[in-house]
Amino acid sequence: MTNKLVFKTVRELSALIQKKSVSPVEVTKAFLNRLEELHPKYNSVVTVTRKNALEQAHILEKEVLQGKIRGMLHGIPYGAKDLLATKDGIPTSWGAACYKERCFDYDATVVSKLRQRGAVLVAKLAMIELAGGMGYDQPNASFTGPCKNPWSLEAWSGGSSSGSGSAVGTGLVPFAIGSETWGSILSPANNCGVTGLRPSYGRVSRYGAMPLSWTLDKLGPLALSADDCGLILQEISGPDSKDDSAQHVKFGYLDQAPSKGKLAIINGVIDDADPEVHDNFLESVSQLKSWFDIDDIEIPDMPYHETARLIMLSESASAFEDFTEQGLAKTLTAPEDKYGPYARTSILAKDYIKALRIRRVMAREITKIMKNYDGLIAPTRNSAATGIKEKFRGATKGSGKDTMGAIGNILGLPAVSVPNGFTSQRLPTGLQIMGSLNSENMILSIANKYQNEQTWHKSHPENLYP
Amino acid sequence: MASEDNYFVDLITHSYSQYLNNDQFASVKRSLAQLIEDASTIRNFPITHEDAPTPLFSNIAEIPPKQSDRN
Repeated sequence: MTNKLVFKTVRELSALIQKKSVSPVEVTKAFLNRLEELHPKYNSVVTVTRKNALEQAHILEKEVLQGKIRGMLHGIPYGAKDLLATKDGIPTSWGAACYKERCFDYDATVVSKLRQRGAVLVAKLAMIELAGGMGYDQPNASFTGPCKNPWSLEAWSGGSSSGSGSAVGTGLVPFAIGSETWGSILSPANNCGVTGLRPSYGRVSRYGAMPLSWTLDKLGPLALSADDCGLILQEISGPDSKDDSAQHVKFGYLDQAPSKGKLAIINGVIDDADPEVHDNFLESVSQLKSWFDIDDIEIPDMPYHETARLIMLSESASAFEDFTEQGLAKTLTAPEDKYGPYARTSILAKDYIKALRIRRVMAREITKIMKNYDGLIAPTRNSAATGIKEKFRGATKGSGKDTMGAIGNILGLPAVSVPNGFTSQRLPTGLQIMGSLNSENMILSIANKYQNEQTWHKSHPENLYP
Repeated sequence: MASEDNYFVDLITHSYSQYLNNDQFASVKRSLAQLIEDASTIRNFPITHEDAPTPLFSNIAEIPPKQSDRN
């Protein structure tokens, strides 16, 4: 049974379920068994939710037999990053040892919505402790251990949605929900060779998600295709009375033709890329040029990285105030996280407010540029996955540059990362497409077009086929 | 800048030294140096009185052009 199901997209699995070729119980059992067999090798899972998942799958199976289908996600298993609250005795650890037994008595809105739409929660997925908010700079920054890459056990999955990327890439779940403050969906998507979508700010309710930075946090899907990401976003988006930052309009997924037929590359954005990332990106550009005009553009010289860091660190100082004051940082796993929260307690209010004023200027200037293009493109990350014991270059700590990430996250712009090749070490690289606010359909259409022609997203580790 | 650095080091020492050993404290000082550098960059970036903060925790919708650009 598992042979038929692993590495199938959500759309493919949904068709099998709706045709009654497989049942929700069969699908759920297959993925639960695979999770339990493989997850310890990858450190990608905190909790397998077997009992709850099977109970739900039986209900969904009865509905299929009655001809009642809730939607495309009916009977589809998924994993949730362990910063999303789950009730019914399922722990929510935030990746931190001191919280590993902690249970909430409510579900995050995104978890509730997925349940209502028939998706089956099969696992809470490993993550970097406190979503990387303490300033980690190497993979062993979670009580679950360093999360491993589907393509090599010596390589890191990326983070902070480490388990989300790894579990999708190893075929343990058809899709996962991750989060991004700055890089945490796109990084694991890049490293693990899967597709990740960082939606526009406010697309998905954050009620029940651990806050790191209220100005920057977004929840979004990781899956095996851009098309799947669109299907999932449609189900998890929409207003929520419990989160007043959630947009009032629900996202409707629609593959649309590009309105301008133009993409742009920010000058200098590939200067720091490793040679093979650089080469794979140029191959992608060559492919995209068959459909789009592609301009090289300049952007205004503004303090993108500094503004993103200051906003993120100020807000995280508040988000983790109690944690910090109680001295709980010393219980974290990564040595650098044990002292991480203290320096940021000194940020002055006037500097934070100045950063928000600069944000307004950035929004105005970048919007003027992006009006002319369907999207901006760049390598998702400057390198493929780093080694499991190595430090990585990080823009959040100032040791690396990520201009697209800084701009995109400060302004809440959507971006999708799709696999676009491999290095000579057989590690994936990624292409990111970033759009204007609320232009998910546009960037997903571009990604769909790319994935219809290229097959990188259909490559999976040979040793992981059942 | 040096006096601001010292002020914050004193503040952190006063509030959190119980949670930090000497090596960790040295790392905190390095993080602080990075933060002060970022803050300096932010402070030196020129903006005008028309550039109000964006509303807290909300979407960047179409930001209207500055009044001075419209005139």
